Amino acid sequence: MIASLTILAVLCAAAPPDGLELMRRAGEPPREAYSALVAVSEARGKVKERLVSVSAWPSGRVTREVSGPSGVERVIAVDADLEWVCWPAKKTCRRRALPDPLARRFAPDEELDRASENYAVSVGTVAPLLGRKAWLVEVRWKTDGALRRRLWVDRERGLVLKAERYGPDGQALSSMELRKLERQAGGEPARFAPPPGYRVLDGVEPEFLELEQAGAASGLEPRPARWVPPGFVLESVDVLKPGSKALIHYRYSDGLSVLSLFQAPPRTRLSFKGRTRENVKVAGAQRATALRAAEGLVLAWSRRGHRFVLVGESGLETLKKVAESVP
Amino acid sequence: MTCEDIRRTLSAYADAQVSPQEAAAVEAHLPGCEGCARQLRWIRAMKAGVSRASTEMPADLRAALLAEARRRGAPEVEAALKAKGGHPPASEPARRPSETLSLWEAWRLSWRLTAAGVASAAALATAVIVFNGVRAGTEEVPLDGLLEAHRSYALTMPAADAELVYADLGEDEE
Repeated sequence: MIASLTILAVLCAAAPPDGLELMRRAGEPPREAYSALVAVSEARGKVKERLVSVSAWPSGRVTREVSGPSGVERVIAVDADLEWVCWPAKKTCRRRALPDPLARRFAPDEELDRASENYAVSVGTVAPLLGRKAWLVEVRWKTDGALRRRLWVDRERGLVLKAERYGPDGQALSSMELRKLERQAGGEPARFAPPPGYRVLDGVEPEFLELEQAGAASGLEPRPARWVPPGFVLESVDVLKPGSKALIHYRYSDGLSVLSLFQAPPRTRLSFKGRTRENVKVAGAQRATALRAAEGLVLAWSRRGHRFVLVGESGLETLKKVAESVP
Repeated sequence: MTCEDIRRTLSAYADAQVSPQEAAAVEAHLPGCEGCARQLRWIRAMKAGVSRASTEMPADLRAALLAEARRRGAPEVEAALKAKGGHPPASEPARRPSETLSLWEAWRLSWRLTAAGVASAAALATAVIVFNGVRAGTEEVPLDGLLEAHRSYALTMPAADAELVYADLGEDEE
């Protein structure tokens, strides 16, 4: 009896943890403060690489300094209930409240349940990374087995040491890897404040609305997609107002990734700011154009005077099918 | 190829900058399509006007542009065209919405015309762009703002790729 229990205990201890649970816990505050240097690489037509210096504390505060060729380009601080993004070159900070995860239509557990319905998640062992033992988490789309995520998770701290993100066609979208990881010496600094002389702008936190609410708030007739890729559901809607006109942002989730559909009213024009793009054909639409972004693909088109934009990891043919279903 | 496909290539075809296959497709399509053929004549007329470095705009072209400006309610374009001479026709010619240049073709043409440094061509290019719906009162929506909204929402997902998303947060904002 005792031998059986002992064997059972050993087996339980050796069994790898749940992959989705590992991914969820990786987003939680660390047990002890650390600093890390993270290399982020994205495929946007050509590969773009950045270094991010991360400092994190058990309180939940995280500071990220994103560096580019000319030095620190942005500082992003998440501090209690606020998110700060500061641009040193412009001496400007944007401050906004963090969205309340409980305000979402689907709670975190529901999203993870959806992810487990759509994806097969496996956890295995792998050679140490940065001298640290790690679990290798692989996330595959259940329909065709396509690899969508690969994560190396620190067994002791639960941190993501390395991550790779793939599109449905197997194309690498982005990756990150810790180049350095060390304990954070000293106590947690005071609450984040912008440097002296910086202009502070107030940003708007994302909201989680129903369709009818978004229609009333925007003055637009909501026109969500009638077809979305398998596994995706409409999670919530938000209303954006980049200028004088309101847009509707439809957010679709498959538990792991996000598909965004934006609807802009007539007499609006999309500004692509020099991005390389190509004309594509979308049945029943005018001026359809596609381009690559770190988030995956962007497809923009016009129909009946309205402008629409899709952003997501899906392939072009899938996005076109979504676009063709938008009334 | 459909008319939409053909019209996307007409400007390049007029410059002899298409592949042999595309040229063959255009040449096979035009005899049976008056709309596309008319559009090609219009493009060639504008390009010919630029190459002559002339301030003279073909009379029939000016008339057609003025009529279109009036139809679309673009008084500033109408004024600019009248300043170059010519008068709008007594009656506006019937014109199907599909018989206009695509915005991409108009932009491409305007860039080339403006780079050529011909003043009248710049005015003409402005008129062409206005024809394609870029009118006073049209508001610009930056794609960067939409991507930022996408990222902000992505961070609310329980299994978010936080470092990947945060590396882009605020990257494109002015």
